[in-house]
Amino acid sequence: MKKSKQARRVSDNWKTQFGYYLMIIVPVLLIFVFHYIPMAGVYMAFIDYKPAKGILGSEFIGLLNFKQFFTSIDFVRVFRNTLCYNVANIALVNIFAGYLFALLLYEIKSKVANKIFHTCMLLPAFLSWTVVSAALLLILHPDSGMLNSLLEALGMHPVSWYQEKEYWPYIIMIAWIYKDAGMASIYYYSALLNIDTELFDAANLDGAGRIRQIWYISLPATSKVLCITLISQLGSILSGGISPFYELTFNNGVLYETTQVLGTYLYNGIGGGRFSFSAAVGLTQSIVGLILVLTVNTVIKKIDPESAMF
Amino acid sequence: MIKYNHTNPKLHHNGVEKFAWMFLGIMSVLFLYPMFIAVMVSVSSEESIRMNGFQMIPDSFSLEAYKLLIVHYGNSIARALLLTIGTGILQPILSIILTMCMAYPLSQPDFKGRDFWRKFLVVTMLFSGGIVPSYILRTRYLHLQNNILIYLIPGVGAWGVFLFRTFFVNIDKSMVESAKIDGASNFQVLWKIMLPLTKPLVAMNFFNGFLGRWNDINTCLYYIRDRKLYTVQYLLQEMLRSADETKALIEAGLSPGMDTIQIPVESTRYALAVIGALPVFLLFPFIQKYYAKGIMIGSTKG
Repeated sequence: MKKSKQARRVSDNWKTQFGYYLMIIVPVLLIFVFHYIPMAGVYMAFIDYKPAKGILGSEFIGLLNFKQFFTSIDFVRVFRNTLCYNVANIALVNIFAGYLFALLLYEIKSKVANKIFHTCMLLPAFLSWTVVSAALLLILHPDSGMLNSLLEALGMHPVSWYQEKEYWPYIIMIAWIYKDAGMASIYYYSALLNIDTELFDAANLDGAGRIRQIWYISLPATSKVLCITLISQLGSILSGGISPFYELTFNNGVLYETTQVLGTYLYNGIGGGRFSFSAAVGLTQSIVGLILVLTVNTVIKKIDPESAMF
Repeated sequence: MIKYNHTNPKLHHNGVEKFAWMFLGIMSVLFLYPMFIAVMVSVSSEESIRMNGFQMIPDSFSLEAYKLLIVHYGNSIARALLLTIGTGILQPILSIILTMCMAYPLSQPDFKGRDFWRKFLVVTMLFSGGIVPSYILRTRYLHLQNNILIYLIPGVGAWGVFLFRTFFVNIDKSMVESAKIDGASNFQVLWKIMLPLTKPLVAMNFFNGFLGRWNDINTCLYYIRDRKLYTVQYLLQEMLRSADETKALIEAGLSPGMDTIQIPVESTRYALAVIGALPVFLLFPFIQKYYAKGIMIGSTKG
């Protein structure tokens, strides 16, 4: 009697487990194919891949691809640009502009105005980089662009913006603020909304001005969110795809000195058929990324275990 | 006992609020300005653009660009729209279903392999093989180059799974338990209990997924050379590249027998840009509603 009950429980349990595995089989397969197989594919970085010979038939050349990358003139440029743009993105877009927008939105008491302002700032976040690049072309078009019309009206010489590399760090950062600052402000804004408004009333009674209230109440209350955003963004300081660099500059070679990043560099490598070399560049990026993410996660775990990734 | 202030608190308040009004007002105008100009350029006549550049209010209006896109280039546009919208709806739906299927067992305490599969996902967050192995896999082994299926690969990733799992874990366990005792299968529990309770999250994921597909040009850049499989954004990107590119694309799209026509390059580009931005404006009210629910859960301003 007892035995059969146990047997039934075992078979019940087996059935439950089978049911669960039935659910995860497709997603697990997809993750295996599209995430795990490419991980094994990093082997490509150590061979001289020739499409005709296949991966296993190509010659093994050890670290030659890495050596070639680290000693090339592109290495410094591409790493410097990637690093600088990502740091500037964290500092200017995510922290400065995002936080400023959130603080100022919080000051506006009219609900309607609040919604209108937030809508205007959030809209570009959902537009594609291609549409943003179309908007940028309106301003910077060498013949009919608005900036050149303005310069001419002021009696100055028009500039061929798409040929002058020194302006592009500023242009890209302005476009980035335009597109992403509104989205960044959401997180800070919702942290501000969580502040107990009685704190402000109390500060008011004590005669503290609004600036002081922001300094002593709003900033400390949101410092944790700020800190977590900052640190978690640091983890992706070398990553990033080809947007916005490809779209905004149309991958214009004249501007590479100040605009080429790892993403667009890899794209050119693949387009040029330099597969093994690009695989080595990509692997370098992945290894640095791994170290950064592990570090960042350890730090976040110390500050706020709830926000840790794993 | 009531303590009165010497200073009027409202006075301090007003200064900062005034500044906020001014600053955000100016920013909002600046943010909308390029979008407005883009619309105006799309209805400008090519001659007024050539004479006076891009203007807020053009000298002469013309719907030539839209006419060109709809009449002469209509087939290409219609195909691109159908492809982008179709795959843009299907891919997120597939992704969400599969993400939920992965997340649900991970949220159930009686699932034995929970820890292993969680780690299986965490590894993908830490390390990626990079773009080159993925590219070789997709082109050489899966033959997805110039293949519509490239747009439909479901995006099941660790982030999404863990997000859904967190929501599932927080759902009242007794509800799931009693459903299971009544003999409901896992899929029924997911469909009848989990789905309705995570609606804002599902909606947010869907809108994000759709706009992600709509706005994406990377897939086309890497995998598509066939003009018939271009998405709307990629078509726009190609047209923005150069005036010659714009003309070549449109001339290639003309039906046979049609004479070469005068192509208003600038206004055509911006007419397509307006089409490329349209879904964002149409979907924005929904996005805002579900974003508010999805992200700002638990926070309300009094």
